[in-house]
Amino acid sequence: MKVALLGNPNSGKSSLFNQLTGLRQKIGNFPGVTVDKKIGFCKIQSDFEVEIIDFPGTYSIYPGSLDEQVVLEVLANPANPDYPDLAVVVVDVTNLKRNMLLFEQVSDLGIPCILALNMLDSAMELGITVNTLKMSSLLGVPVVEINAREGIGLEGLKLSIFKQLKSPESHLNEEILDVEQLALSEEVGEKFGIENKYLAMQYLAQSHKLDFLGFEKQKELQNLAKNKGFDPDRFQSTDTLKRYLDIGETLKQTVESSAPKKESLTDRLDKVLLHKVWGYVIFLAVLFLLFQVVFAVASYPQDWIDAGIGQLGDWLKNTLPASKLTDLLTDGIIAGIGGILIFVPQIAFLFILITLLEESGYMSRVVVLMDKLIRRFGMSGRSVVPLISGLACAVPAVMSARTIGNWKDRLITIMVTPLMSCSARLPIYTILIALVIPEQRILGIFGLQGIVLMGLYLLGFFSALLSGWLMKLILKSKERSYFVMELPTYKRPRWSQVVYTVYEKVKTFVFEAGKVILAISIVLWVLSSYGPGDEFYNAESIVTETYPSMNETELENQLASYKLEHSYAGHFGHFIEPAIRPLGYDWKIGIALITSFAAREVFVGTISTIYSIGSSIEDEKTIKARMRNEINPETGQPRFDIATSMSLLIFYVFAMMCMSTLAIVYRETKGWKWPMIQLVYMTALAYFSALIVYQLLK
Amino acid sequence: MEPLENLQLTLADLPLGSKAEVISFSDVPLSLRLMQLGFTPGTSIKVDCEAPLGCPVCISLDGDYHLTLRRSEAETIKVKLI
Repeated sequence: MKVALLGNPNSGKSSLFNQLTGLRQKIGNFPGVTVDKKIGFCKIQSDFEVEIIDFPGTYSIYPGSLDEQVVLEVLANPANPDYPDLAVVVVDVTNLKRNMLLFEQVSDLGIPCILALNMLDSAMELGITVNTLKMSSLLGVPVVEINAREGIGLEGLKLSIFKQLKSPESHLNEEILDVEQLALSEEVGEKFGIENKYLAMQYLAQSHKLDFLGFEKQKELQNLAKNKGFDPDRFQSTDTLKRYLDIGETLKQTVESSAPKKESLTDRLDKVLLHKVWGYVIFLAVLFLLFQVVFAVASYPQDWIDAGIGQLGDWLKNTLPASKLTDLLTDGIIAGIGGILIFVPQIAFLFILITLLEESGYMSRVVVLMDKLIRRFGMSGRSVVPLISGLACAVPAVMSARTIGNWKDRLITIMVTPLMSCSARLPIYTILIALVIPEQRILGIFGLQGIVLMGLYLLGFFSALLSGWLMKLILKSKERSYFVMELPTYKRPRWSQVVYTVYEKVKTFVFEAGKVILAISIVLWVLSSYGPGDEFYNAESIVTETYPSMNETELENQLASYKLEHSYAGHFGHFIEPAIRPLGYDWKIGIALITSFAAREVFVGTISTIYSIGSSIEDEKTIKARMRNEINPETGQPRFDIATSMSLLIFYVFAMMCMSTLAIVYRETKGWKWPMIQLVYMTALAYFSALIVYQLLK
Repeated sequence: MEPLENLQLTLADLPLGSKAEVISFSDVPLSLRLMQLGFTPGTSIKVDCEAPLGCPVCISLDGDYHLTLRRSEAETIKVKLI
């Protein structure tokens, strides 16, 4: 049995989902689209379990964005594998009129419903009380009171689900369709084999959004609508208005709201957070704090991980017998895993903070604050959410651009979002900054390293704006779009929700990105441990002959670096060296650039693999120490001096080095044109900016 | 001379803090979206604040319910003061 959770955005649907399913949930995709589908299981009786599907939040079954369209596509298609046996419609009691619209529409589609009244506590504060029993008898379906946040009322809900599944009851509004429309719906129903009259009308009104019908049937429906003079906009408008009348009647008999409320918390907070001056000051302060926390607090667990991995490698090297296999384990696999785990604290902190901003309701205020400013750069206030999410990862960020209705705004947002520094760039930033920027404090509290880090993020942000502005000049569009949106009330963030989200993201990172990193680490180890031709295989005799006076340790180091230089990886590195020398990179960094082309987070792992092969055992403890000790043979100075490090930093701010992002842009723009343009423009930007920086600083 | 209809007060004309009742919409596709959001003719609204550059505008409806919309969108909503 399948139970769908439906409801408006911010109605508390996700909280209810978490309460009902606990940790027994998984995330999948709705067939054919890349909208997250959360599925979980819930025992509603000791011997009866149902599958719970959490649908994206929507205001009605007339979708305004791609996410909302999924709801229509499933509910309008009884053959869909996710078509529910029962829908629990979660409504926010503080805003019943609007919330009940979806309930009425879903009921009329012939799906048995339960109305779950949520947020009664907030409603009480506003002086709103509901007569649940009376409402249930008026609507003809079970109405239950729940508190999704605290998990109150779940037993009653489970009992109602059980009863509704055994003997379904539904609420039908017979007054929606007039005589003419009834005749029309019968005609459509006969042609397409649909019994439900309201569903038949939806086929007619929204055929262009029902992809499962196939092109032929959609065309047929459009022709039919045209011949009969059926106006979809008009139908939607009267549908909505008639339902509000009916809802108004129900609410009049069941809801009492007492005297004028005093100013709510949201009103008072908005006065400050949307203030002409303070609004921006607070927003900047929030961002500043975010970076300080991500950099300063996360550095402690990172140091532990870094040291722990170093010790593990040493221990394994000393314990296991010396062989190729041990080398693969310590220099390839362990170094690779170290390169993955070291990201985890920063990614976790960044996601915790971004989730907190979304959960609390503050993110929508940022949309308001930024709309007019960001509109000049070819985007809309709604682009702020993808842009800020881009700080965590461009992949979900590009997907979240779906809430932008206008194609041009959305395209520009998608094209520039990867310029926002994602968490995969963070380790590169962290390591290089730690190498060349002294650990000073400014004004006693702000770390200089944190300030440089923020500078890099700002550079990414401003280049995103500038690119947006340029694209706005080039792209032409006459399509209209709407900005209007709900500003959710401020809420205390639900920690369980934050924990779930962060857990999911970190897990995805460790396993998805981790797979790539680990695979590349192993490939890299092979490429750098084997080589073509005599020079690699006769390395030992060549080195011994060249340096006859060296002692054993020095000889070993010479041998290792000679071998690396003549390995396959070394050949690749040398091959591209002419192209990257003007940027201040040598062939070793070249290898890291090549391997990180698939995923930029591989850079640090590669560097650590390369240098652990090329350095002596005593210095191998940490990646940082290895890099610090690397000498540029031409100058005798450290390899990672300020010019090379800054040039690398700038390169990674701009470079489009992420296969996953290209893949998601391909999927979202439905073609290779835009991802290819993106790849070319970002790579060119990265190369020339790094060139300029190196030439100026060297 | 402009037709009288065009001289009607719109949401965009309201000063901050004023209360009004929605009469009608002049943009059909936008009105469909607004109605989904519970913004129907007869709804009473209050203008809460505007973003620092005068746009977007934030309004509140009955209950603790807040919406934000651009000035250009507010211009398509005809209202009367209450």
